[in-house]
Amino acid sequence: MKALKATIAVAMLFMGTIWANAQGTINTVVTVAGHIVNAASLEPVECSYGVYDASGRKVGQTRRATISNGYLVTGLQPGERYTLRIEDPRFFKQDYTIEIPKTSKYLEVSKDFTVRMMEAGRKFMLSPNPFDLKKSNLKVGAEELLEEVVRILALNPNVKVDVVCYPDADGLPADVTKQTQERGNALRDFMVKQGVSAQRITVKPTSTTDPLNPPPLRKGAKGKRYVGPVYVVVTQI
Amino acid sequence: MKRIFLLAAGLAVAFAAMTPVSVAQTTSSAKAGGGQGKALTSKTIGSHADEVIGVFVNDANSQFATCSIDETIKLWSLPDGKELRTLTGHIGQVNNISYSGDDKYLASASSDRTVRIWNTETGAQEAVLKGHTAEVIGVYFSQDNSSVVASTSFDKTIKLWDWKLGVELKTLRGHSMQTNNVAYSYDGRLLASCSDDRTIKIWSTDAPVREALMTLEGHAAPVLTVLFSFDSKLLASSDQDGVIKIWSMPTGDLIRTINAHTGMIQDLSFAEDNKTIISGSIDGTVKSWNVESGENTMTHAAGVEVWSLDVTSNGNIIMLGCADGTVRLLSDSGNERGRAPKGGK
Repeated sequence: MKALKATIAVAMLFMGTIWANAQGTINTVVTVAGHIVNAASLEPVECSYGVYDASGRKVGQTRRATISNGYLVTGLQPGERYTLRIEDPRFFKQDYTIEIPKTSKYLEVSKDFTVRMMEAGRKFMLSPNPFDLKKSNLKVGAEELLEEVVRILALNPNVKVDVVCYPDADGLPADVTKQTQERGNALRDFMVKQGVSAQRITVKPTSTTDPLNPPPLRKGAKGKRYVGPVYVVVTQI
Repeated sequence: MKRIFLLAAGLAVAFAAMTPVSVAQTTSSAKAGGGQGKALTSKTIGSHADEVIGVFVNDANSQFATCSIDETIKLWSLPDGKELRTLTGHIGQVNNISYSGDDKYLASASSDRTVRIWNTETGAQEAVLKGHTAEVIGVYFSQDNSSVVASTSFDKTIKLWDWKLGVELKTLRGHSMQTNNVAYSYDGRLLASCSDDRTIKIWSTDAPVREALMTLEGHAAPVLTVLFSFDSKLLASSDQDGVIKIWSMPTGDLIRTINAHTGMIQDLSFAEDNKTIISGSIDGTVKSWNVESGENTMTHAAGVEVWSLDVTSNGNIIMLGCADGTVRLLSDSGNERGRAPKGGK
């Protein structure tokens, strides 16, 4: 008799769940988890962040990611878009979009984010390189890469930067300096077009190849097309 | 799918059926184990603008793909070796490629930090998967016709993606240095990753499990490639010192170490007999090995650094990706019997 009652209860619960789902009264939720990592070291960091829905409303309180466990955001709705905002004075303010896929089942999604230390003198290499070998105009698709830099500068309006480009190879100083100046100008022009004040960007040409990341020489080194590295150096915060 | 039949084992060759589209053709001698001399014919069918660092043949043996530092992917027909299409869209070098089990899609891993999915019939870019925080080095499609793809990166992680849903399903952490390559076992139960930290980690493909099942130690240099045998009972790995190791799976016991090459081994493939592996190295040679005895059964001097290789399942043609940008087809010209039937899975 007990078993029969239990079976009936389970069946009713099952039917009820189906009905509730059909009525849309049970919301499917999605969990997003991952690490917030230092863009330079790629190591996890402790960091405060907030999550905002599409209308800009904060979902819950400001949270803190830990080094060992990363971050965890639960209860996000399928088909919705959220913004994870870095809200920690040690790091540049940064926004990341989280697109939650449409799903009718509970889903766990993984996502890592990078942060950059808010310090004058910090140097960030643009990777992949926005230039092609021996070219001074931005390569196709580089805009997508540079948008991240533009977004960071937009969210951190007091920051000023130097753009430092290194040549693809050593050569006559005048030629090399001209190439790196032109590349720097192309980067600055792009950022200015995107709304960053020209006063915040200084182009610093160079006349020798990058001593930190020189052209590969050893046997087996990949790449005939070594392109001189490009750095954004923070000069004022 | 990285499947190889050993040329030196005397399998049929389809070179006679190939359309003469080559820009260069050379014949060089190769030594086979047991004193069996073979003349391997190398045919250059085309080139990239820079080093070719990935080669992958589809399951139907009708097509193969190459990827390069020149930021492109090229599709080539088989057996004629005709260039079919160039896929552009990555904004960094393309480090690795993998066909889906049904051959409809190709996944590519790039230094632009993305994994991209391409339609192999139309050449259309179907998805851009963003989530790695550094260059993406390795990629491998789950071969069970699901939409799951695994990738490795300089960010030290392995990420599993559902590309149709457009999400990262899982991030696997544990390597202490960059992860170089990843491979699914053919029974679909395990995933292997290798790293500059000189270890190989074995992971469960079960969704809730995020810890490595085991860590295989023994390499004395960064481990560049891992690959399961077709019966999923062996795992082969190669490293920067030119060493190959064979591991018993799922126990993880080391069976054999082969000092295979004098330079790094960037690519490795298992034969369908599960006893033979073929390796390509920057020392300029392609070699085959009997994993049971450790015997070198074939050596071919390519005359150029070999970054990547794969072979048709019936063993007719080995495809080489080389440091000079060339894509070469290698066949056993001493044993041509016309086009052999396709090897089964």
